[in-house]
Amino acid sequence: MAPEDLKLAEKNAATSPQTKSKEGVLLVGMDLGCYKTSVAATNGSREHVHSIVGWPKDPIARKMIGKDVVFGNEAYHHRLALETIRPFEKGALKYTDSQDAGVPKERLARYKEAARELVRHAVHLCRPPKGTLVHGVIGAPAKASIVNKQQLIEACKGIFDSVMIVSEPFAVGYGMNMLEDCLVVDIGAGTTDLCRMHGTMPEEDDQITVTIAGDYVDEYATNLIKKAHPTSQFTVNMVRDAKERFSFVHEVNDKGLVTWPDKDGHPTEYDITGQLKEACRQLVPPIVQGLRKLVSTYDAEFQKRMLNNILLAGGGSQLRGLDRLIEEDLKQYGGGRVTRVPEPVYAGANGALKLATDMPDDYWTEVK
Amino acid sequence: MPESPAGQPDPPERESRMIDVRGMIKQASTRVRVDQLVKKGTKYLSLLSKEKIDELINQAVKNIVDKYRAVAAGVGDVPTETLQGEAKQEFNELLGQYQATNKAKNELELTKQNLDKELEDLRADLAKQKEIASGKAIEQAEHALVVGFKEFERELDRIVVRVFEKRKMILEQSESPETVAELDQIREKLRKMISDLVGLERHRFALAGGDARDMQIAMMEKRIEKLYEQIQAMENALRTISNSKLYSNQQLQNLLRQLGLVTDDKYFEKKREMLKVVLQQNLDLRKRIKELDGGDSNGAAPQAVDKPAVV
Repeated sequence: MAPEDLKLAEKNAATSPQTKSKEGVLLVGMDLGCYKTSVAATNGSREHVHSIVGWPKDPIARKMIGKDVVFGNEAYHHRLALETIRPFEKGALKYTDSQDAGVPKERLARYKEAARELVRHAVHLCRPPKGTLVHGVIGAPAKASIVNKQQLIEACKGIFDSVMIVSEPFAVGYGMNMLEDCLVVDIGAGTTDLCRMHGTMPEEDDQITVTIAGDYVDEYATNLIKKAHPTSQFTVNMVRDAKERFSFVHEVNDKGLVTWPDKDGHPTEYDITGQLKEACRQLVPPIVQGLRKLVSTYDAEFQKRMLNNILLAGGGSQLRGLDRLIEEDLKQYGGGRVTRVPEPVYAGANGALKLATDMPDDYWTEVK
Repeated sequence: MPESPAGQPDPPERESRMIDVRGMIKQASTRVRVDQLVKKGTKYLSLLSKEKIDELINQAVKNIVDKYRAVAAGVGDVPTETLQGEAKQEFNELLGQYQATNKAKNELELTKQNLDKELEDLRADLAKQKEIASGKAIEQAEHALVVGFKEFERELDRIVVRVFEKRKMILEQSESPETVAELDQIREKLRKMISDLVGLERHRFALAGGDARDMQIAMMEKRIEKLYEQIQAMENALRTISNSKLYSNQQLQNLLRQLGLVTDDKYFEKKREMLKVVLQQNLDLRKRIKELDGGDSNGAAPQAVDKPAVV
């Protein structure tokens, strides 16, 4: 064997799974959200990061930021000096056709690169020791297509040693140990996923995905506010911030007051209570419609039990009053009980991690 | 290695046997000498008896037949390929389970040995502690304690005497004899006080030491009790594994639960099935992706030109 070949063989051997496996295995559960990505790992790490990736626009920006690629809040704060991409915005790559998500053909490769960088960063946040095998379970929208799942798998290539894709709402239900007669509603930024859990693996008919979710609410609210306060100056990010602070869908006495610049740049107080409320309420009809569909097509004997077992997860579940509004609507079916998951941000990642830890070791080698 | 040792007669055939596995194995296998294998570089051999293979195959076939009986389809309606395939898969699963059980058995035996050793050490420690507590060694300990405190008392006394002697010398030169006599009285009183104080402390120390020892013994006894319980459960588990048929593992589960190795999860079986489905879905997904890549070399991702989703 030539010395070059020998060196190459040694190098390969050093990074081969057999050599690496001696160091141990890190299992990671990941919820690649359109707005936030959360990870949980078996070494106790639990982190979340905004799903935004940024590259410096020019050498000056590179010098100022001091990094080739930035993520999350940092990317968000320096977005004017960066070329920023939210790789999963409006369900892009994950659920919708890239055309529907507004991704231009020539930029698709850049979106995929951003997704890859984001996955790499999320795994890095778990601090895997050098030489550790990293196995992961990643949540995908309930009705993601083969192409979407392929894009997710590609984003994980070289970062995970092996990876499995599972339905996001299923991961939530699994994580909460609610596997029977239960309905999971996972309200994310890009998609709202509904899943009927009936003790076996949910099938096609047990799951519904709709694109009316957080991003849709933000846009809807932006349009309403523009109409109501034409002199105000704001961006969709400012609307999102306001939504996170004041969002509610039920009758409450809170007021959504924001101080935004007017057309002359003077800070002015605007009341956006009505607009936010109306925008947030847009989420309710598709959810209720989906619930109705899933319940009405379920075995009549168990419908009541399922109605009393509705689980709200995802960032959208934090909307105040959403649970009560759904319960009110369900009264026509004899009532129901809606519960929120304790940790909306981590519910998906926790469930995915639980799946990863329960997975027998040999399964990982099969999907390598 | 399905061959039985040379010259050893095969056990009598069972009446319930469905397939002549032993005969088939004999026909299909080749006899190889162990030293030949060693020459070839084989270091380890996995041994599986003909009886076990027979049992596993019969169990696999029986399971598949039962399965079709249960769904009232009738074995006759099922294509032979399906039956063969499923029986093979079932056999592999059973073989895997058997190997895993065997491995677990060996590990349990090893753990038992370790526990026995630790228990022996503990017993020795406890015996020593009990000896001390019952008085055999207490005299030695007490002696050491008394000697130590006596030394300390003597040293204190020497210091007091030295201090008072110096003071006395100074007083003798300048003060009256009454003052010197008074100093002598004070010195005696002080020496008595110190002696009493040291005695009291010695008593307190001995009491405290005794309490701590009692506590230690109690803790050790508790540990031993716990270890005995664990060993008992482990021995039961070993016995069950040794005699168990692969499909009656409820008792084994109970024993493992007793050992704290199994957590109660009412969805355990369901989860296992779900994980299998997750794996299958992921394998199918990869297969379909490969097909997709083969069919569309330009990349199958749907693309469009619209407003960019850039923040």
